[in-house]
Amino acid sequence: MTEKLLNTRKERAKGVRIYRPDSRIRQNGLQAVISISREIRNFRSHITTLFTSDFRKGYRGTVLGIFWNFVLPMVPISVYIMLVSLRIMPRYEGLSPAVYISFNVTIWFLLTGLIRQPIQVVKSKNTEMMKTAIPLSAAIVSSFAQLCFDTFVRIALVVVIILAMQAATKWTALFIVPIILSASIFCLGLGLLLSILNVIYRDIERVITILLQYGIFLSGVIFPLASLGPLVSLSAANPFNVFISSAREAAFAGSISQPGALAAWTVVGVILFLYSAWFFYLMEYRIRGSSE
Amino acid sequence: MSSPLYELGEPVLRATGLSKLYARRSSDTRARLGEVAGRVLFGRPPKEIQSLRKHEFWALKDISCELHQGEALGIIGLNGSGKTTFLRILAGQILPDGGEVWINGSSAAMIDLQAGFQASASGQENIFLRAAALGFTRAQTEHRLNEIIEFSELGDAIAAPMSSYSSGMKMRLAFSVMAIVEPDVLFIDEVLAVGDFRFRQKCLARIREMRERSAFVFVSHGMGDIALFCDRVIVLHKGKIHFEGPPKEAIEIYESLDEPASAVDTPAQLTKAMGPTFTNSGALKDVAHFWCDESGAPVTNIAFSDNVHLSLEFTSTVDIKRLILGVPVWNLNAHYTTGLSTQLASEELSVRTGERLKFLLEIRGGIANPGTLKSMMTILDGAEFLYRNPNPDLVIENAGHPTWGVVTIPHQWNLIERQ
Repeated sequence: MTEKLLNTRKERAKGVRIYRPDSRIRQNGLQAVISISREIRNFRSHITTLFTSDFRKGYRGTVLGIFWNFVLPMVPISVYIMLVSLRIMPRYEGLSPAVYISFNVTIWFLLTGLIRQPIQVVKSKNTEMMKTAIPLSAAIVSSFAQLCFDTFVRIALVVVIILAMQAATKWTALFIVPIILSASIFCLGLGLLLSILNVIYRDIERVITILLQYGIFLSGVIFPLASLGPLVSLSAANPFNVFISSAREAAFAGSISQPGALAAWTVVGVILFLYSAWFFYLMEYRIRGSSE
Repeated sequence: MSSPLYELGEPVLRATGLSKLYARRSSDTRARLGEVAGRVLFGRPPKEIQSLRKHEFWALKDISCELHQGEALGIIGLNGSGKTTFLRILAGQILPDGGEVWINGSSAAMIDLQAGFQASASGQENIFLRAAALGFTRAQTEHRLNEIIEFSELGDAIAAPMSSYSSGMKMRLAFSVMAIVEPDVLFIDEVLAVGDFRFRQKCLARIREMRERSAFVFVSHGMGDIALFCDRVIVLHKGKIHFEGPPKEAIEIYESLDEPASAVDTPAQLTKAMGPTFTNSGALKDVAHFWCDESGAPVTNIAFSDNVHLSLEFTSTVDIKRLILGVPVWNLNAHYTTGLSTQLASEELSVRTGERLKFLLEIRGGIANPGTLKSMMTILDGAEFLYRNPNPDLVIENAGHPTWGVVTIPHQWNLIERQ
């Protein structure tokens, strides 16, 4: 057994590849993450080209051109702000509704994008990726590039709204980065796991769509969970609420009200991510061509 | 091509006991995937497949082969024999359900040239996209951009969106990008049908160049290409290796395989092409016609080079002023191959009531190429049909050498001058 493993290592060093039914099964979560990272690195040129091409496709043939790529990501935020502005809303946690909503919605779209994009990419590009021998991870990452761009546009809008509303930020706003990172790891893990399961059980994507429609209202994104009465008791059980409210509190309150829940969900997120990356890496070649 | 074109080097590819399971219904595919996912979720390797479900079948079963440096391996077989699946597994695009593939060195696949193109992007953007998928950086692609565009001969159309391209233009662009790769092993699937005749020759020349530095696995239905490029050929049949050996023998065996009914045009098309049947029982009786050998014994198969005969007998119950006999011939693809008629004969033949006539049509061997011949026996009085009914099928057996088209016209090449 040891000799066989040594041979395999030597062969890999020589540029030898072996494909068999149990390929990749011996890798653990960390090794899977490293392998996926290597795939992404090897196909970085393709990812860049694909993103550029998709980005241009977003405005090709329009009169206003690239303007649309900046406007469209802001639309959801502006809609929610408009809705709450139609009537006089109370200030949430000392913040104006515009700041509260734009901040939360920006994070919400980032996190849900990390769940939805892998599902959609695996579903739509599985067969094409098989034919071009490009790993699905590369296609997913190129779709994240668009998500990142949209998020940066929304962040710019949030900054403008914060300045316009003169909302005071605290030094603890620096913690937003690790909080968002933890939340992203959690959601990406969820997205990778569900993207594979959705190929087998096609109801998953529809269920996720429904859950996220309700989720935006049940995660304190548009208004605080406290305003929903008894549901406030579940606030710590909802990871989205924990991550988003922690980021918001870090930015504007100077302290985090649920540090225990945040730590717990961060640990869950890391474990889920490692497990999902491993599952995704193992299953990727098995689901190839079976999405249609 | 009995001897290899190149000295065999080290193996660069080894396939051992490859098997691949497919299902005719996607629900069965998903159910099988669900089983695998269930095991993998708990860290257990996929179970060896013991039994097949109702709609499952082995697309490939126990395929083993080796490919050496400088060698070109051809894969031929009827439609649905598993050629592309085999190639995809070798290229690492899908995993086998059994067995193992070992590859030493870089590889590239020309399996579905148009996959991955974006219709709304320009030809040039798609060059970058495709080249990036092949592992080229933007700088590397820019360095070879002119070479690719020049090879594709697309000219100014390179700036137009891919959606405006004809399928031939798309294939030319796709091949041009693929032509810049220099892998140790190249997998090619039916991609030589690229563009027009002239461009195809250009592609063949490029493939020949690539052949000098890469080992090939080459799938094609073009036996000429297989004979030209391959040192060794595998004939796949129903997912298994039916034969492995020199191209000439492999092609003979391939041509002797029965094409499944679904692979040819439908019987309805053939019936339509052959036209209506008709019998004027008031004019003719006791009509008998069949293919036979020289002795008059009925045959259903005949060797390619042997003369073939058609026997016809009938009794006329009316006076026939101008008897014309005809045998229109079709191949299985409903293509009208030829017609054999007495209409061109210098003497007109008339028949009296009550006469029984016997004819023997002789067709020289070595003209009709291997395959099944469908034909009609027609008997006319001038322009009036008296009888029009099918002859039995006749199978022309394997020629023992390549043939092209449906007939081999007797011909001879003469060397006139050599300088």
